[in-house]
Amino acid sequence: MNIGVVTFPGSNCDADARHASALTGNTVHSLWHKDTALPSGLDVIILPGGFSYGDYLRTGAIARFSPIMTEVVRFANAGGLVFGICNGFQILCEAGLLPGALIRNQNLSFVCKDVFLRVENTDTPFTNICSPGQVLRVPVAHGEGRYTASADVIKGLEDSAQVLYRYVTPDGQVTDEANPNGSLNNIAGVTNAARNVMGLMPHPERACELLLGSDDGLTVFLSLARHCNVGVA
Amino acid sequence: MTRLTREIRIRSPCKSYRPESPLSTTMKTFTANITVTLRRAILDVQGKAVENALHSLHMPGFSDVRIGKHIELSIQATDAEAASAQLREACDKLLTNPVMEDYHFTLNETAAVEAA
Repeated sequence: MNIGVVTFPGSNCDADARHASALTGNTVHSLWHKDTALPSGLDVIILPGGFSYGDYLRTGAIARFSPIMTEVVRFANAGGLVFGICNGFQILCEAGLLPGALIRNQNLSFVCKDVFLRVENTDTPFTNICSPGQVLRVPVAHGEGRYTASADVIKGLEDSAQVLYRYVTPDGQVTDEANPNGSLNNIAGVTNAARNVMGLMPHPERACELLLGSDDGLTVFLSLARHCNVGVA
Repeated sequence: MTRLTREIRIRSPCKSYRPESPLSTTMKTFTANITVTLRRAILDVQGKAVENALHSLHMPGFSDVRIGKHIELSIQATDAEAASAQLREACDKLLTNPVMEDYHFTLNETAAVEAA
């Protein structure tokens, strides 16, 4: 697969995203926020975590108008796979590629720890290698991760199985205690109606080697590879 | 030579800001004060924390604390209506996120400038 990783001013997980992409046998393309064209043959674009533009105004609000975002939106609208991690998720919401918004954590604290995620829908390019209800251990690191949307939007997401990951206990139970930021319905990750754009607050790219405590994050990269019919050694 | 080039560079973009209608040559400057708050339906956890702090300072009379953002800016426009329209566009596109925020603004004319 060809994976492009965008670097915005203030991105700080772009190197991790490139590392995880390379680890799973992909060709990695570094993309710059000022780029006005994408390399040909891209399969996936990753918007990485960080604090693009210092989180000024709102998280992702300014990055969403970066020159490269015009191309990212065009790529997504043409069916290309786009994956936003943490700040990347916030940018995708600001850009209107995903519904909802991410606001200040309910406890007002920056939360940085491992959480457990339950895979809610395995019929997507991002989760197809998982088993239904599989629980993954992946770290979060954010101050603005409380997923919110109007009641109608939340109902629409739930009814059409667009909620891909939920914060749960290690044994897969949805509880308030397992929710690190107060997200509605414990939502950690969602996809769009066409299922080619995903936003996820936790960081799977930081959980791709057992040396780091978990390699459950590999499931996203391996699912993308399977979706693109690429064998991974 | 250098000086001439500089003058041309400064002047040429200014021309594009002239109003299209030849009749309206006067641009006015407005100051806008924009207040942005989380939508009512969204729990304002900062507001709640501040409210609790007020109560713990033995000021029990306060309630409904909302924390928001204040943005000041200047706009050049032919009249207040045009300034409002520009401001609403800026608020809807960039300054606020309608998914989570509401806004309101006040607009005051500060000076009139004769376009050259």
